[in-house]
Amino acid sequence: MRITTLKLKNFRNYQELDIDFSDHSNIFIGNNAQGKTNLLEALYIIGSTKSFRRVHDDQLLKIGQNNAGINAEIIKKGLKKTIKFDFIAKTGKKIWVNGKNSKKISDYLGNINVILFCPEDLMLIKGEAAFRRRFIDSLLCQTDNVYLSHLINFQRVLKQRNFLLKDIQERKKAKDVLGPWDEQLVSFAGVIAKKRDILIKNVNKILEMIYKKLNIDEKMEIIYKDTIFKGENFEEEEYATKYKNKLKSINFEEIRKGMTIIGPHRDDLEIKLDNLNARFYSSQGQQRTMAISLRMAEVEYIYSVFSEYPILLLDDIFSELDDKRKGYLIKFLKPDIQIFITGTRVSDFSQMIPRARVFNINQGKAAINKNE
Amino acid sequence: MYSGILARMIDELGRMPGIGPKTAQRLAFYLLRQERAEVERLAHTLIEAKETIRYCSICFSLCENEICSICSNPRRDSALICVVEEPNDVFSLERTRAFNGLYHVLMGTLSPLDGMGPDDLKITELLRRLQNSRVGEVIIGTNPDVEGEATAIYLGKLLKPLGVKVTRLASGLPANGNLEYADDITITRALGGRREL
Repeated sequence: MRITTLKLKNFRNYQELDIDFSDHSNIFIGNNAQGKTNLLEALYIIGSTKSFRRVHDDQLLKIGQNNAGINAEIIKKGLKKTIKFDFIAKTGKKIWVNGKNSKKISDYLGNINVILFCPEDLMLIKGEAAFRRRFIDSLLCQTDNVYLSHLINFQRVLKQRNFLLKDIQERKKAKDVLGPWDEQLVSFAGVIAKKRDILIKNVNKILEMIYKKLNIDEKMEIIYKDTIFKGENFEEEEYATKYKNKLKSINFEEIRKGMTIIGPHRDDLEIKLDNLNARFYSSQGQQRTMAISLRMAEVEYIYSVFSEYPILLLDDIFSELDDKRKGYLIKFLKPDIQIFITGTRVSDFSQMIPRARVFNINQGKAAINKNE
Repeated sequence: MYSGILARMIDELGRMPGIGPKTAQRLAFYLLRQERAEVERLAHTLIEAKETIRYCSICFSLCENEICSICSNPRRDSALICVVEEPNDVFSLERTRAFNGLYHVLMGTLSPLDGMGPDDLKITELLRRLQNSRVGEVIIGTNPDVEGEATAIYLGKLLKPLGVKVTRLASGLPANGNLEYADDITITRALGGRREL
């Protein structure tokens, strides 16, 4: 997978931009607040249709403008495609692939896979469960359309059910209408939980491989802590049946709280290092290694599904790492992966320079560094 | 941008489903270019339609009389009822000429988010139709989204104890479609709903 050219119009602090990329490393160098991360944001949108900053599309527009555009040429499996995103203020976005409108996001996803490494990845180890759920959901949505559709349906049913629980609490609706929602909730949940379980088993195998390759003498392992089987083995139908029975037994509590309190939306992953819970029993350095390893596992998993490496975006990652961990990352960055890195000093990337194209980013303009 | 009656006209047109501000403008300018008689005819048709068209008192599809032409047609199979969400679903099914039974329009689906529960749908009316009748099969033709599915499950649980056969419209591969072009969800559903040859 490659992104060969990028054109921006009125995107963030870029009025006009037109650049060609190297198939290998692309390094964006500049001071703070010049627009380095905005470039990664545009590239991330090409992969996932959404910003990693979790903002509304309107905030992507250059201040004072009411439309913006991202145009890119990509190559996947040797096939060239043109990608076009149009953002219109207060209206939304339109996406075009080879001039054809992608009406649904799910039709578009899968054109190109992009993985972001950033300092906040540490939250995958230290943060709340939501960070880890987002990690598995994003990986599964990129690789499994059936998962994506079940997740969307699950969330829709969950929203309806929570609304109904509040209605029942306020005695606006009778209790007996929960049934049809419960039935769908547990059947979507069964598929989601089983797919998460299988994914995590695969990620564990990949993590073992990564730690071995990087010569780290530790064992990192993820345990799937679902709210129904709590880490025990299960099958899809078993999950649905047990979930349904549990819902019955906590019916009063759910009505009192006015929401669904168990299920995939409350799942967590326990991350273990040498059999101890890494959240509490590991050093900051070990946690950074684990966070990077999770991203690397994501990259390798995508490779195992599509036989092609995704595009990597590394936002301000080197400044946070010591030499040992920089070494891990550089060892991992294979020549057949296209990468985009931001940083403030060229010297941080001396080991990568031979094959890299360096761009100087200054006030919404990008210039190729002639010393490359 | 516009003011007075023109602004009001664009605003009124823009309230209709599928009509954005730009289309509303185009329609307004189109109407203003027309002869007075043309616009009058449109206005009269709208009012006449609104005054004449009502819901069939048996099945709740649209009609001009107390009872619709389908419910009053003796050649239709009165042992078979197809339950749908909205009156326009009746037209979709009628276009096929493949169904010779009767209809029952629910006027919506279960949807707590929109405040819709069983009492807000024409379910009591459906049960009344099934009492002391010769209806042998009810086909649930609600949409295959989560709201349509919830409604189907609810009706299934309600109707089966009455001894009537309850079926659900199949969902799967489109006719004349190519497996290659079907999306993953459709294929997964089609696999789940496969039948023996």
